[in-house]
Amino acid sequence: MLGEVFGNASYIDVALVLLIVFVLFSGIKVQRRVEQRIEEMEKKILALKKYEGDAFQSLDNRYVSLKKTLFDKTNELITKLQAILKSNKAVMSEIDNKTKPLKASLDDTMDKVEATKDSLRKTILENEKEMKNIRKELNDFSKEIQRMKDDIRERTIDLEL
Amino acid sequence: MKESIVATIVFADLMSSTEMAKNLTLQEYDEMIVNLQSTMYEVVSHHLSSYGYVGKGLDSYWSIAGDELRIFLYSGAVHFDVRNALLLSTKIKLAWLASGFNERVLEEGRLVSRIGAGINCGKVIKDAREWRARMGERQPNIEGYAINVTKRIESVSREGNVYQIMVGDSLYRRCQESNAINVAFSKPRSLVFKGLGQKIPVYELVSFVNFEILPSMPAFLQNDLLDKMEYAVSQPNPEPWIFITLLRHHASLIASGRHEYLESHAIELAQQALEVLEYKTVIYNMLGWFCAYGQRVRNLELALHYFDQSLSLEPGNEAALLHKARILDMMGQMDRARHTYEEILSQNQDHPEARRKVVQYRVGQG
Repeated sequence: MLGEVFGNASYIDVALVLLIVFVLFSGIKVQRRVEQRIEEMEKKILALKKYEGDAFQSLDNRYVSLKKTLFDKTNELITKLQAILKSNKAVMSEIDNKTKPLKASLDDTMDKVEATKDSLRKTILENEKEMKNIRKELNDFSKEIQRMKDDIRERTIDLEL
Repeated sequence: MKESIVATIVFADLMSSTEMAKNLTLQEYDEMIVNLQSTMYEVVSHHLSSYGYVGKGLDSYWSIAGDELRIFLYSGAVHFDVRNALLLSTKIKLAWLASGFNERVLEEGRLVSRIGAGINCGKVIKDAREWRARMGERQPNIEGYAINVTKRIESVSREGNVYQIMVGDSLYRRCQESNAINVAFSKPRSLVFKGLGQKIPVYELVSFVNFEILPSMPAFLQNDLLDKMEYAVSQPNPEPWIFITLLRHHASLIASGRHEYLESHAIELAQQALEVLEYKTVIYNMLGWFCAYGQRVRNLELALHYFDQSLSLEPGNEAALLHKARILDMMGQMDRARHTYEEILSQNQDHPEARRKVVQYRVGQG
């Protein structure tokens, strides 16, 4: 039958059939190559996803570990700080106890100094007032003396005329 | 409480007030009296408070009724009261001369209205009367013969021709006792006053040299006072006493060293005063003083001449002798200076300058 077909077919028909077959085979080949590439890409995607997962996992692990380290370190530090504070408090308390009388005496002295300062200020103000009064009195007195001198001079003229 | 005190009494009133009342309308007379009373009030109240009188009847009492002013001074220091009485009388006269009323009179070229005064000292009774207290007055009543005498003395003030301030014998004697007041009186006139039945010596004040008269006037009265006095003495028939007060004030200004320009004017004024005043001693002394101590008119020869003139009128005048001695000393005439100082000592052994100078001359000779 095939022979009949070929036997009746011209060369052009044969060439066309051959071309169609060649195209068909080429298409199949291209499809196979695409599929292969897709497969490879999927593999690569999978590998990448796996890498990503691993990376995240590793990051998570590192974060947890770092967090733990930090927590531990902070705790340790807090403990140390608390200890230091406690010790400082004791020292402060001791200093406080020791300086309490001194402070009281200092406060007392400061109060006294303030009082002295106030009294000194008052005294200075009063003295200033007093000085002002004395100055005014002296001024008035000198005017009075001048008036008396003028008066004596004039009375002398009165009696010498 | 009734007490006997020595009071210096001043009576002052307007001369010829009855004639004025006749010639002026009631309105004009009232205006004049209001002006007179306010002038008297200002001068007396200002003076007494300035000179430390407490008033309220404690050391002084005064009143004005109509044109009459009565002042009683009894501070306990009679000489102080006497000086104040003289000052008050002169100041009232001066204030009235410069008053608005007399200013108009002067502008019209008429004779100014004058105030006459009488002053005397004497014992009086000071007593707080019940009726006065009931009237709400706390001032005491002052009664006594001395008041009547002073009133009579004041009534003859119009017969005076210099100050027209008449004084009684008691006040005259007080002034002679004290050499702290440069005052001169006329010879006494013995007058018989109605109701007193005996002759009473009355003196007129003819010279009162006192620097306080003008400066102690109330401030508002001092405005233009000098100009008014100068104007008054430039008019015909000026009141002689104004010259003495004015010249004395010029002496103060010249002595202050800032009014040399007044020296020539003061000399002219003094020469004018010589023509008006009968009592010339003080004017010669003033002329001598201006010539001896003035800056622009200094002339020791002329000063000596004026003091000699003064001494020719009153040989024992201590002021003239003192200046004469000083001038002779300045001129290098030591013998004559010493002689003059010795003359002062012959009248007043305690004169400090004369004593000191005589000792110096003796030491110098030795």
